[in-house]
Amino acid sequence: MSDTTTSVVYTPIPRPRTRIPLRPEALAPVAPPPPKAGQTPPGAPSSERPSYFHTAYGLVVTMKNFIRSALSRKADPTVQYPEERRQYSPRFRGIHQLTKRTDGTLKCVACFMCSTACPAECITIEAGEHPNNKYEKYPVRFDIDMLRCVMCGLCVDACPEEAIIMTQDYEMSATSREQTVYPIALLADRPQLATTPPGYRPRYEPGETLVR
Amino acid sequence: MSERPPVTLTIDGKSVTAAAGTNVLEAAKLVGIRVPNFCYHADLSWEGSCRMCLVGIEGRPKLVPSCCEEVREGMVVHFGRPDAEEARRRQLEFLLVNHPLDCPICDQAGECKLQDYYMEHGGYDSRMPRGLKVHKRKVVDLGDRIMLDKERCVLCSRCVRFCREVSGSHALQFFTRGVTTEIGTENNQPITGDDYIGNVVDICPVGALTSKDFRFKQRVWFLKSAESVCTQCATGCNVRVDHKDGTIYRYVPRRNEAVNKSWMCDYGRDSYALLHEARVTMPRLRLDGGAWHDADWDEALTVVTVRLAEAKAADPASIAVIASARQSNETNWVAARFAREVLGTPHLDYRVDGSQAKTAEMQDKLLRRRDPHPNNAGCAALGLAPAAGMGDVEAILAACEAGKVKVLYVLGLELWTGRSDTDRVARALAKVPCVVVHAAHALPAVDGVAHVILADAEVHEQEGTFVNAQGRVQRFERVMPPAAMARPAAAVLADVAGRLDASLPAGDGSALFAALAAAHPSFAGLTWAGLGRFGAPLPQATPQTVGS
Repeated sequence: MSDTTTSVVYTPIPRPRTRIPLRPEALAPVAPPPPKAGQTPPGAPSSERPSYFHTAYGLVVTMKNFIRSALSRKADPTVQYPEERRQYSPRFRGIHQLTKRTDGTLKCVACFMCSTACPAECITIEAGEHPNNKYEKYPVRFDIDMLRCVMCGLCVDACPEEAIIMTQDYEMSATSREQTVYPIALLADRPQLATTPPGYRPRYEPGETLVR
Repeated sequence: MSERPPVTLTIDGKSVTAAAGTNVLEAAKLVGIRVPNFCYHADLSWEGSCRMCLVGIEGRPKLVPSCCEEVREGMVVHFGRPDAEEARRRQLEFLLVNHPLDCPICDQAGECKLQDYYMEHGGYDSRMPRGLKVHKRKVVDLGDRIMLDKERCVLCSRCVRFCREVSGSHALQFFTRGVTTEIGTENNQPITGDDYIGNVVDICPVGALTSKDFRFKQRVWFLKSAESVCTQCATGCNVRVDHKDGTIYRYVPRRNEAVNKSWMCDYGRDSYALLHEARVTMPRLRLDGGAWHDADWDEALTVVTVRLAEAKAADPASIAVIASARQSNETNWVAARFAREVLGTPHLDYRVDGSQAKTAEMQDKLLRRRDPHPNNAGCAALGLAPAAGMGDVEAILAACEAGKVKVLYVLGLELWTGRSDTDRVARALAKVPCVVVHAAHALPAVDGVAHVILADAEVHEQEGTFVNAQGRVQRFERVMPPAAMARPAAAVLADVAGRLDASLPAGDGSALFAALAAAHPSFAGLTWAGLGRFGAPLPQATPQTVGS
């Protein structure tokens, strides 16, 4: 047997260190290099005999896992969604949430830091004069276009008020494009917030209460 | 002052020659040193209250504020000396001691000198405990234009000096003493009767005075800017147009020492909103007494061309062209050539509403003039006015009333908006079989008499030049592309001329201005680049246009 068939160790293909610029000629189909002397050309039928040992070994692995998960629910990797939900990290970056002050008003002061930081330009804010002089500025409109959002969390990093955080809520299927633009009503008051724990919020300090 | 010879001094080892009477701060600008300052303003008196411009001067025991130090021969100034740098940094720390640091909700953020200087000269960690700051009143409503935040103020007194020295209203003053000193009006009363009060927002180096009109509309770092000229009177104040996504958010005066210094009136400041109002975005037609319908340019211009060709074949004098003091020199020049060379009609005039006689008259003692149009002087310089009694607007209207005019070709809306005898205009125009109007804004009075309305580009949608009341030719830039299908009138006129087998110069404002300067003696020798940002006087300013 030759070296290529006996090797079972997975060796990753070394990636180029430098970024290769995309050139027009790079996109053109490349002709396969001519086979070297003494080598079988690719695609040609192999002259070697197949190894039945490895096929049998693979089947053993499959059967072992099959039986183990059939006997024990604990070993079963399948999550029975939607009855069951996977537990995510407390830093999970799911759908955003606009947090509130203790008096129930939005913490957001419409400073536009999040929309300035947003690489996807998915945040649309309109600022207005707050009826309470103490707060001065607040968002009349605050929309996040979830179709454009890349869930990077830069808006959370940029926020000076911890007014926008992310939650572990990841269910955002919709039946129209309009529904994917989340207004204040959804970002601050959607019913899912009661059941989903908060996600990425780097300014959180232990003991801090989160008004949701 | 100016008869004294210029003096030579040394700033940070660089030799500068500055005019006598200037201060060290201005002299430093000449060698590229931007001395930080809050209280100094080029068009106000020297105050020296903010102490941000401290420099060392050899032979002086203490650091001195460079804004209040007149240049002297042989002076040796040290801007970058460590003790001067340290003094400025500590002074900035003092100014920020009681500052609320509410940049997220402050409209000045992004163009705030406190922010800029902290990044440039501060860079220290605050030593002020949070609870110890002295608080003052925020959100003080000072009338229709100004919102005052007393906490953000650095007490530079620019606004106080502006109200005292420029507008003369004495509206804003200092109150109380020591750490509780604050800016305000008597009993926090709203400011009334000052038509220039909007300027205090521009000169406020921090967010203490903000504009109510611009309040919370945009963050300034999103805005793009273009340089233009205010079109609300013959003064032609230089402005910066701040816009985003096809919407203009504000005018800010640009400093032009020869025209408006650093100021502009509140009326002109508000006029940006008029640009977007009720725009005509498509050519519109009303054929043979039918209803108005939207058309494309080809259809509209075919109608115009056919009517003009018919009338020209019958009698060129049955066509009248009315130019506009609200259009650029280039457009009016093309319109004049269109009338005289292409159509061959003697009926051409721009003096629709008599405003040209008021060009030199001031409406107030500062900037605003009684002539509400930006380019009456330019039209006069172009020689658009015919000899008295020969085809002027009154004669054109009389001819219309007598049924002698077959096609009336009008640029602009002043025939309807500028005259008091609207009935007479309507009566006269009702007799004209074809009225073509280049209109940027919809007007019911025009709909009643016109037959073709050509969507015109507004001033911010094209580039060109105006001549102000002083006889100064000033450029305005194209801020954004024309709304929807609107087109500049000069391009449309050239198009129509082409359809009439004639040729008129076409191109953008700079190309047309070059052609105009080459062809017209009033503009001889001027170049687009030579006009620069601040304009240049006409080669020979006609005496009637020179202001008081």
